[in-house]
Amino acid sequence: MPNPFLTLDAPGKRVLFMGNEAFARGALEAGVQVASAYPGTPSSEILESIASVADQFNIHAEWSTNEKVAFEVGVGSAISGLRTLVSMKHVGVNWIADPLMAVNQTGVRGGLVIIVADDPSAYSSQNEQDSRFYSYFAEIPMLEPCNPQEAKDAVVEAFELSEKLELPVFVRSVTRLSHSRGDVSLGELRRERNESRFIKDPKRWVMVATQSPARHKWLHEKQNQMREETEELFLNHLDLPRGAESGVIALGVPSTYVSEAMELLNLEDKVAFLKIGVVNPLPTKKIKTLLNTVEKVLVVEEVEPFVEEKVRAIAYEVENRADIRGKLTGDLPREREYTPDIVLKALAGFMDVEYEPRSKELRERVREAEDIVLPRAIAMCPGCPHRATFYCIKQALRKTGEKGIIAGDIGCYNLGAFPPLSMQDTTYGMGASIGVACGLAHANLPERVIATIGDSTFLHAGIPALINSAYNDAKMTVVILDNLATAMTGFQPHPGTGITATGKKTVRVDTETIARACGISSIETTDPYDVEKTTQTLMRALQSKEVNVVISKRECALDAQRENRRKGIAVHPYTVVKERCTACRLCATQFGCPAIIWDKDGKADIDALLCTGCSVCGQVCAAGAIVEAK
Amino acid sequence: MRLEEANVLVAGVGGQGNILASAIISKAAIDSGYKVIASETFGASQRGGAVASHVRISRRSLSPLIPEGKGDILLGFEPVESLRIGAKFLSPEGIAVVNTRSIYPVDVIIGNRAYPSVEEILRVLGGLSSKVITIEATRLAEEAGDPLAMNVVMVGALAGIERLDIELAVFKKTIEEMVPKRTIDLNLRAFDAGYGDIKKKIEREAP
Repeated sequence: MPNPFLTLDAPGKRVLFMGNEAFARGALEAGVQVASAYPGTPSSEILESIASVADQFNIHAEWSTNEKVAFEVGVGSAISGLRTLVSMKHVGVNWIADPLMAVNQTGVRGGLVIIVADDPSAYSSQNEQDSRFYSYFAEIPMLEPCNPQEAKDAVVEAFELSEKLELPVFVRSVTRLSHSRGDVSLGELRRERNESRFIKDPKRWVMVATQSPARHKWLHEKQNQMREETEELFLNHLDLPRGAESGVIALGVPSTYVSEAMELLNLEDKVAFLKIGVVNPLPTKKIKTLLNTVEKVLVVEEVEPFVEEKVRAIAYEVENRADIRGKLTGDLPREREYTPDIVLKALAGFMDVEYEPRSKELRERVREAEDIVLPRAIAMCPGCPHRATFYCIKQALRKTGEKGIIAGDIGCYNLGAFPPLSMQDTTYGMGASIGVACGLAHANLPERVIATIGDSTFLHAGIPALINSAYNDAKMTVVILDNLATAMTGFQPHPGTGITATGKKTVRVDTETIARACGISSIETTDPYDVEKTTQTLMRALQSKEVNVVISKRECALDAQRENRRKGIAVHPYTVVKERCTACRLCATQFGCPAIIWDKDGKADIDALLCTGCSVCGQVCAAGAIVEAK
Repeated sequence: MRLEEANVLVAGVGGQGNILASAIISKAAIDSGYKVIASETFGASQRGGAVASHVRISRRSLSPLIPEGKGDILLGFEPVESLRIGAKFLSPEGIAVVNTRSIYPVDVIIGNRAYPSVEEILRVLGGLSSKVITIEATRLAEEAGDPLAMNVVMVGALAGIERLDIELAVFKKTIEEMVPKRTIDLNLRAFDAGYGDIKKKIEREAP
């Protein structure tokens, strides 16, 4: 259901937006004409929001096969003069680095805005990564908003800036901003649309050896203009109370923790505060003013000590001896997302004041509570076809007497790494399962090498690696866990689904056909809900001498449930025949569906509210005690 | 007693719908003239892990997370999650409304750990706050037509404790706007069930 406020033409009205919706609204207010992305938490809702209103606003919105393609789509439209938005999660920028490092030198004609959402704490990612480095690497501007209102306003500004400078402009988000919700005051929707026209200019658009240094010079000549256009931007703000001897520099969401901590610690009149919203170029005049006023500065920023190092360089340049503190001095942690309490503690330490929100007695009670509270590991959903596939791989390995090394990939099936399945031995980045498996296969290990990869991830980056496995004869089994969705990020369609981002029917790309075209001759497709057949199929694959592919295909259980609800189809949950249950716990220790619980006799029970009726636990049970409820 | 500003926590397990619940509360607060910022702390973007929403209702701009010990109201969708979040964020003056239906973590399903008794959880939570009210929200949602509407029962419970300056009609209008059309009646029944249950409990306590 699209958020009705995305398209509302009511300047000044305050509405509720998720951070990502605010980014999307910003693009709509700026008159965006093309939007492309590949789904990735925490960035996915940006393109989803734009796609939900694309027809109404005459926007071309697409889920591209990967971030690099999405960005190249953006380059093509922006050099044709159109206002273009490309959005991605932090690791997506690694994919776009190649074209980015050329389009920064050709420049663009229509505004090209790249939103990159970092994931401090790696809540939904393989790593923590500070994408701000890319703005210096590519020598292009980057804005960093701190709340949903600034998120919207920053995108509008980024489009203006991009067209003024003829450069792509980054907007950096983080999970805490993209997935927060807050009130946003709407702005005006730009009526004007850029004209679409490609002006042939090989000296500019053809980046070949003889002309590239000239374009690099052009980029360097832009740097002064970049500084002039951004120093006074609304995203930067310096508050300099009279007599302040200490200062704080903060960026993004942590700057909101600083504001609140100053209030809780009664420091508002004592500490100077420079809130920075432009990462590149930094507001050096304001930084110098602050450094020349105070004795010490605390830099509060998430992920790397990026600005902290630059502030040190600026201090050196103006021969300033202020004590610059932050991550490098151990005042703030190097890893994980900040919280209000991390910032409160750091600021209290920096200013040498006390902060303790709880009495001693209360702290003891909190400790008592912490002793009782159980950890809650994330788990695959009840009825998840991936759990069934992993169970069958485990059975096939056992029955063939093989030991396996399983190279995993990015998606829900990564949860197969956790007990009781414990069926992932490596995870790197998108598509890395097959590439890493190629290396494992050539390492002459005694184990059988298996790569597990989802359908969307296979299309994103698995194909070149699969070609490589056939071409270079890597003996291994590639299991494609095809659940017909990009499920982990929220069920976006992909080329294998035959549906576009705007819900239109399109060509359906067939995984099996692709695998065959990659040079794989042994391909079998199986339904993981059929445990016996899937196990047999995998046993054949594991015993094969050549690289082979097993496609384990079954619709995502959440998607299927949603579809059933819509159609009013009732679920037939399973139940336990108590007389037959031997309390062996095989269903839990080997399979581990969250719908399986325990009664007071230690026998299995099934939570009918959670059960999807997939039947797999019934096939797992050796005693035949789990049956469909009558 | 209505609060001028309120930090509301919604604690549950992924898939229980606490993001929708916190979005309903947030929008109802904005439509009542407040500024709002809300966000979640969670394990992953899909089901099974612990999810806590922080909803900050105020007259000014605040950060998207509640500082430890500054929570005024806890809506606990599940007992262990209520204690996890209550212990960390609830103020000793705060109030907790707890759905008593447990969802077992994988460790309990496998048999590595035992789930603590709900009585014990409530006792400890009681020592960390001014008041704990229990509610069979999942059962009330089932009676309203769908156990998944438990989240909206809990929004009704929030309205029932009458700590926020948000009219009942605004809550109901917000629910109508934010849930799928075909589930509006169901969700309004769920809201009323939660509201009614809590009101009854509070009136019974009154001297």
